[in-house]
Amino acid sequence: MKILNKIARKHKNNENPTKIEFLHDSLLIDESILVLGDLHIGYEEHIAEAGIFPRVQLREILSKLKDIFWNISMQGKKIKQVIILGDLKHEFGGISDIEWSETIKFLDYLDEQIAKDKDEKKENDRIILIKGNHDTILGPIAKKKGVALRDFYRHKEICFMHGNKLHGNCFEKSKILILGHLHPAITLKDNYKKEKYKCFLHGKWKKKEVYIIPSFSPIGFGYELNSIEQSRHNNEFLIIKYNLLENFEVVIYNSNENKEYNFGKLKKLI
Amino acid sequence: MEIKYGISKAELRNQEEIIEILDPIVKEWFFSKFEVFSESQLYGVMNVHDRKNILISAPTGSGKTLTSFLAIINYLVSIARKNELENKVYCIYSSPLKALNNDIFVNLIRPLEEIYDLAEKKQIKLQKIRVSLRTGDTEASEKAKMLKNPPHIFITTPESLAIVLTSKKFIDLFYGVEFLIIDEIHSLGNKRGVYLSLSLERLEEISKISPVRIGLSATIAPLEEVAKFLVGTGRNCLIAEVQTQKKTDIEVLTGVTNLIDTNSAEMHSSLYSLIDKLIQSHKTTIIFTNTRAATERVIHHLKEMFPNNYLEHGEDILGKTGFDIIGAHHSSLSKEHRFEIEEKLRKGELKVVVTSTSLELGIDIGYVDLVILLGSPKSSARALQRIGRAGHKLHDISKGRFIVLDRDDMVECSILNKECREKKIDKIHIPRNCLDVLSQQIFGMAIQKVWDINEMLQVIKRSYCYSDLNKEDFMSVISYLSGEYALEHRNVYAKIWYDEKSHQIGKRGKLARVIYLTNIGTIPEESFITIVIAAGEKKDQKVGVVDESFLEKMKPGDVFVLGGKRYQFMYTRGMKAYVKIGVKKNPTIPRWFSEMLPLSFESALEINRFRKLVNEKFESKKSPEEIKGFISQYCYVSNHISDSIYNYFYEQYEYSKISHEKRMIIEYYKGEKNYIIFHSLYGRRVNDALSRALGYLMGQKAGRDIEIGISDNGFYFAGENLPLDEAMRLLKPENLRKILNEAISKTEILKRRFRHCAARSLMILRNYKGRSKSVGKQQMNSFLLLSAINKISKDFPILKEARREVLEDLMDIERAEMVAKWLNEGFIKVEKVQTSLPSPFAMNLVLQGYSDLLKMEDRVEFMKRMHKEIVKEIKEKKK
Repeated sequence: MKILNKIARKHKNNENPTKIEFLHDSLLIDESILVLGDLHIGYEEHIAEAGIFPRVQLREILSKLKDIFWNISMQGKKIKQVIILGDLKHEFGGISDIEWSETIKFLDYLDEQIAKDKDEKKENDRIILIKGNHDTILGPIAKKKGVALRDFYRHKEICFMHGNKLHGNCFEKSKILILGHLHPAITLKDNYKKEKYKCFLHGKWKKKEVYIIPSFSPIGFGYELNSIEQSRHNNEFLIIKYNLLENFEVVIYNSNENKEYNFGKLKKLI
Repeated sequence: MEIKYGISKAELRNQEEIIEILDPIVKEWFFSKFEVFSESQLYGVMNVHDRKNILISAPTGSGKTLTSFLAIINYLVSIARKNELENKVYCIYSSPLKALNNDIFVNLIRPLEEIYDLAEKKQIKLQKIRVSLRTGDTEASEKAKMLKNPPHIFITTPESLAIVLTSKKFIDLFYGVEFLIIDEIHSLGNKRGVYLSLSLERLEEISKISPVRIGLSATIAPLEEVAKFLVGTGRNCLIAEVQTQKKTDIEVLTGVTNLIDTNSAEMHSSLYSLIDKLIQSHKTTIIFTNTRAATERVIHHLKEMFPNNYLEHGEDILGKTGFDIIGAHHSSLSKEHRFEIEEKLRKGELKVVVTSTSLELGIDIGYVDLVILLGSPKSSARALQRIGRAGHKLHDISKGRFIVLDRDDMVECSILNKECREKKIDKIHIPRNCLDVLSQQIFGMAIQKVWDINEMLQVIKRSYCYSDLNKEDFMSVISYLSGEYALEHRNVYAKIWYDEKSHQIGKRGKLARVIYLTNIGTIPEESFITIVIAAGEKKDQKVGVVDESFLEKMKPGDVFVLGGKRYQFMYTRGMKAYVKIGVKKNPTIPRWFSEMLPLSFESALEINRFRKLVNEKFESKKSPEEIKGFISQYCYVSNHISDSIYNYFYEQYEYSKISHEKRMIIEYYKGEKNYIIFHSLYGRRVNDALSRALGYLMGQKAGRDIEIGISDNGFYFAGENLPLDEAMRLLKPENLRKILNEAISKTEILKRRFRHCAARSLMILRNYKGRSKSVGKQQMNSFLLLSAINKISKDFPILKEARREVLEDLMDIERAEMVAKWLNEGFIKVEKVQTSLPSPFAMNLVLQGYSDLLKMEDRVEFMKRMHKEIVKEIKEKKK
């Protein structure tokens, strides 16, 4: 029997604390809101560039989601809302047939899975699409599916943003910040070997509690945080500077046993 | 089904017979230049004239190129005389060398010119016989000219041949090809050769006449297999093995009397003194060093130690004073540089050229009177090929000197010396059923025309390399190319279409031809990074080059070995990597083998036999003098060398046991780690297979990673837990392939080979829309590609091919199965020994460091172990 790990968050003077749980490459909020980001649908096509690349990305994404939904339903819970933290699709320039159809398939799948609960949520609040830097022309799809495309989103004390731009108002009013964009990953090494793992970052920035979630894509999206060469390039990439990230804690989620492993501060792993 | 080939020996014909068939002008020309026909001409000319396929194996300088052309020139002149030359290609000549202008000039262009001069003098009207050369370097205007005035004799490379086979206009000229000459066929035991074999079958399909095939080869074995490769399935071929062997004068030398007790500075200086002395006492010398890095090193040290000997003080042709008379020639130097060196060699302007392997092939290099083999050439065929570069003319003596660098090298070179003198030649390996090459060729075929699938398969199976291709593999390549693996989306990247109803296959997409032409070929692209010292006295000094993909594995702080020294990687700038020297830490990155030649299996067996003979003499308490005498006689070496070999073997015998033909010593040694050392002298290709299989079995049992070190002379394991006995019990010849397929699935080497296969099969395009993709980018894409494919199917044809390439071409699974069988059946007895220091025979292997790490520990387990350590660390700090 799989058990979810719970971290109950207790904020002083808050009678209704927000509960945030790690789940695969996503976060589960208040047992009903699923947060995921950086899917980069269409990336395979970008790599292939007229060569041949078998298409597995969407299939893998859907099977991971299926796992998550199953897991949650086993505990008698329901997902009522999915928040996508940006970079749903990959291509900057245009949108290809494949990206179009895969994005639609993905959104349709979510739509099927999200519990129908008309009283609580408005129809178009079931899927929240936040704009990422790759989503320059996501508009038509969002429109077709009746999903609003936003720059940020707020739920109680949490502000959701992609991570490339700071949206001041949302930021000011919140206590918790949840970001994507970075695709955090960490390389663990001993004397002989190295292995790379996707990870979450969790820490404090400008007096807010911050979560940075990994990319949900199954192919190769992991930005090695403890490789000095790479992080140098990255300095102005994310709204939080790299040297400030060093005090964040690194969390690796092991989906085999549904358990998270906290590796302590990033700077210890560099 | 057994495939029948009619392979038989060619007979020597007599002079008169040949004279009779010659056109009067050709005859007159020939005897104005030569007195009699050479042996290879006596074998070849009549058979080509009679349109019989023939493989001619003869040493360099025996006139085999002219042999192949003589009957053809004769035939064309006789038609030209009647004014009946058609506008078609009569003869195609393919050589793997781009720079063959000189050879073709001497053996074809000049003879034709002289024959035409003669005809003019005699007022005989002859139609012009046109010759054109097309390689990757040929200008577009030249190519256009060829189509206007088609050549009768078409000179080309395997790659350019494949290109013209997709050109409608060229195909129209190939309707009646009568002769095919394949030169340097001994250098085609690789995917380039496989590729060519398919092109020949395509040509055969296009031409209404079945062309005669003529193969030209240096000394090689087994000739029967090469003959089959030349002619393809079910055809007949004659073999002419030209007996006139060039006389050779070969010796084994060392720079010092004692290879073990001399300090490295002394060794270094005496080695270069010896090389310098040899160079100075000859007119022109070629030094073979095996690796590019060593090439640069040798030149650097010779110039530094003997500055006056390698600089000419006089003026050169251009009036420049003071120029180098020493030069480098290897594959990472520019084409211009290499061409200049070849030109200078021909003109006799160089005293010495240092090369890795690139001067092995038959480029005409003028007069060379000495070849130095610095370090073992690893195979007798290669040794002979290199030594044959000295004294290019047939009756010259080829003079070669092995200079040995350490004691294993000394034994190896002494045995190679024996094999060279006794003409024992190792066997060529021709890859079979390569699915990546097949993909590229099928794409090319589909561009040429619409095919019936069965007709296409028939053409492919006529190639020796695909004669036993099974239908499933063929169909999986068709599925792959027609985009079936693209899964959810139909045919987005498809290269061809296949209609199951009509059984037809054709090309897909407007860009097909452009994609094909710009991505053709089988030689993998690599780029190189120069290693430079970052600071200190030797700041900015270059220490060597490494493969770009090697660098990609490194993080700042990693330690690696290059040319026997340890370096710590600091940072990169462009194509340079900066390093720290004088590092004490153990290497954190495995040694890189990409450049190293493996010892041939036949020579390895020969060394094992020799070890057994010497061991018997030790055991029967023969006197040192007798044993030394035996060694020097057996290996044809000086007393000085036989003394050293005696000492080396005796130390091993005294300290431990000698591993040989009938017994394998397994040495247990506990140093910093637990070592198990296999004295398995079967060459790296076999050892790679055996060690990875055993290591994998142990790792599966123990669940921990195992460090593995591999050389030609053996392999070792190091690790926490090494349940060897169990692994040995599980290893059987019949399950070796299965075990290895699993064992290599996560290795770097498979990833690397997969990139090559993906490029060959056009999964990754190196060039697209006028842009070329960097090796680094190809690497990253192929890595992502591989992880995607792993999620689809283990039998994906290109992944299957990458595994085949690792097991059969890089490793030698067939011979590894053989050794496993010998071990299993007790033909080789296993004996275990325990040592407190590595025994003399194991020393080089342990010092060399590790080659790879078998990752047996699960990713998740590793993460948990690291987590435990971190938690412990944090707790300790809190205390």
